Amino acid sequence: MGQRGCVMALLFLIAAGCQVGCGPTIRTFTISPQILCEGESAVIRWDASGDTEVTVTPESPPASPATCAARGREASAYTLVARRGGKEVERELEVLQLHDGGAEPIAFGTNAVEAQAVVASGEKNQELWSNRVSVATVAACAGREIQVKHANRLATLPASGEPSSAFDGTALAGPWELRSPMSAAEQNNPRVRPTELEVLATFRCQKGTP
Amino acid sequence: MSSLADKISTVVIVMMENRSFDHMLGHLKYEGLMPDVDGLDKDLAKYQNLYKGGIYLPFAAQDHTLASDVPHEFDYVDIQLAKSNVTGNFSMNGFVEAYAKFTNTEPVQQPDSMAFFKAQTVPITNFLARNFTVCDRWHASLPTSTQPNRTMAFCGSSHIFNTSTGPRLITSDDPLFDWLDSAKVRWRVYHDGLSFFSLYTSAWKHLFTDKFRDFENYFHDMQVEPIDSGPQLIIVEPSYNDAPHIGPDHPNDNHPPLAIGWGEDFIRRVYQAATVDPIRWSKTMLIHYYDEHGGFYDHVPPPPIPYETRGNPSHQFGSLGVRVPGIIASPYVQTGSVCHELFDHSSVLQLLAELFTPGKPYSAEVDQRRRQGINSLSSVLIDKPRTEVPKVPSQPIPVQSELGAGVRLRPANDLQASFELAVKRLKEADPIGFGKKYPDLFQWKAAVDEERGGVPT
Repeated sequence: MGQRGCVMALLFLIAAGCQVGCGPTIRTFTISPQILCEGESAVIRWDASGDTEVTVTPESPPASPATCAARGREASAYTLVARRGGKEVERELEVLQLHDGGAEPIAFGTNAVEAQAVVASGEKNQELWSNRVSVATVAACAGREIQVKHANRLATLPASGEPSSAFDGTALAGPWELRSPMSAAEQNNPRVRPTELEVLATFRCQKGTP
Repeated sequence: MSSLADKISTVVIVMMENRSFDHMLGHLKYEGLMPDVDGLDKDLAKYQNLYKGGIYLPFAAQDHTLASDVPHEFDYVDIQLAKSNVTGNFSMNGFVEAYAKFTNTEPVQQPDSMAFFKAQTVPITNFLARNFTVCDRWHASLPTSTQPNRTMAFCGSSHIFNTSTGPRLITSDDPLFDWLDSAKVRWRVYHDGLSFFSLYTSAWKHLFTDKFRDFENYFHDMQVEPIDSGPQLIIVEPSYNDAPHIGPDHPNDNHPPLAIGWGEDFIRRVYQAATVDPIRWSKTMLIHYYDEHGGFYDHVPPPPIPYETRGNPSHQFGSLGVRVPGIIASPYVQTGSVCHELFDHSSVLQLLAELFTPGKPYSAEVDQRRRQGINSLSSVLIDKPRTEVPKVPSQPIPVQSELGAGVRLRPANDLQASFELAVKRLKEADPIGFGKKYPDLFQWKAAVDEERGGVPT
């Protein structure tokens, strides 16, 4: 399947009851989980009419020199094609293979100003990351001091980007709140305030049953 | 200094569908081909989009048929622009969020909305850019979808603000043809398939006349027709992805999920026809642009120029739309140049008024756009013409193909349904004229009636 260290199990349904002359349809196409630990397997399910085929295309890693870029991951696009009567329809899903020692950015758009600080908060995608991926360290990005609240823990990360183990063992997914003090210029001019705050978390991936 | 009429006697307009500036032309900077263009920097990290705590960067894509359309209705564009309540700026980082919501998927790295093409994937667009003038501040008129933006482009104002309305014929906005007739401008439309103007009932009186000709006549007409009796304004229409199709006719308007190769070949043929007569070309201005961004990422926030649509209900837009590709090809532009002036689709109508009714604006609303800081396209023209005519690349362009798809399936979106409704009504209104003008769609309608019992009403 083109996925190193990963065995994919396939389940599928071909829907019956299609009227004469109808084209192909894809009612559902799911992969669970979409993010895999090394050696882990996933299940692909689809409910479609027509002749079906799944193809896998490895994606190039993001071309980014940023120090806070994601690392230790390989992505592939899984495309389901259903064909019937000269017509075809497609659905595409991406799958991410994680490697131990990898890192994942956690970033949210700034959505509030409180006590001379900008605040960015939101939920790291639970559907993708589940509770199997846990945090090892967290470091501030973009040369900003960032106060982080996550999983009932609180820590201030220095602007130098030095990693902190304050969130060791917590789930990567779930709510995060990032807060960063504003410079004098940012306090005086809203237009130069940051549009997002970002930290970089190294993680451990715990192999489990999807 | 020579006047506009001394420079330009023929204007050729070709508006394609649904691609953003960075998607089609961002590579000019990314690959170092035209560093002055405000395209994509090599460091793509500065363009990161956010979705549920994750970061997504633009990526170089291969040409292929996409799995689905990409969201571009006004409510999705709001998400894409991502106006920050902290900075008051458009963050331009919501293109992945809109895509995830539209496709009901969880992207992990490369959602289609963040794709861009490198030069080798869009060789004809790249050729035009590097040989003529790129306009890197051309925004769609409105931060919304196809029909309102095309209406702004060809009517100068709009009663409508969205496309997802169910099957709809547009009765409240008049395309520019009556204006052209009153200004005694010779004009013609070359349409590759069903004309988009079939959706405007006020244009129906022209549709079956000799002023609307099949695209296949374009090259020959330009080669043999005397300039002083030929059209002064030519609108060239691609074959629309959402319009009905039968037989070998294949859409080439670049509307996703269509692969880009068809449109590249179409633009090549448009350029070949525009340049076939060197005398005509010596005073021609070819305007190649897009109606709107189609849901694809662009990094430049739109200027806060408001517009309120005139229909009931009206809709208040607070800005222009996302940037679109805009290229001007003419002997009166510099080779490989960049124009940073602000344009939108009214810039074309401003140009036409300057050229054909000097001193008299196209309309009060178009003139209002000028007063709001949107320039006429005449500002890209230089005084001294070039004499060489760049030769377009002849390389084969690989594409995917399928035949017979448009008969069996019911419309997948409201624009498709609107086109089908236009075919039904036009055939009812003038079956003989319709059959002569669109013999393939006459057959398509019969096939659809038999296959699925008619079209939406």
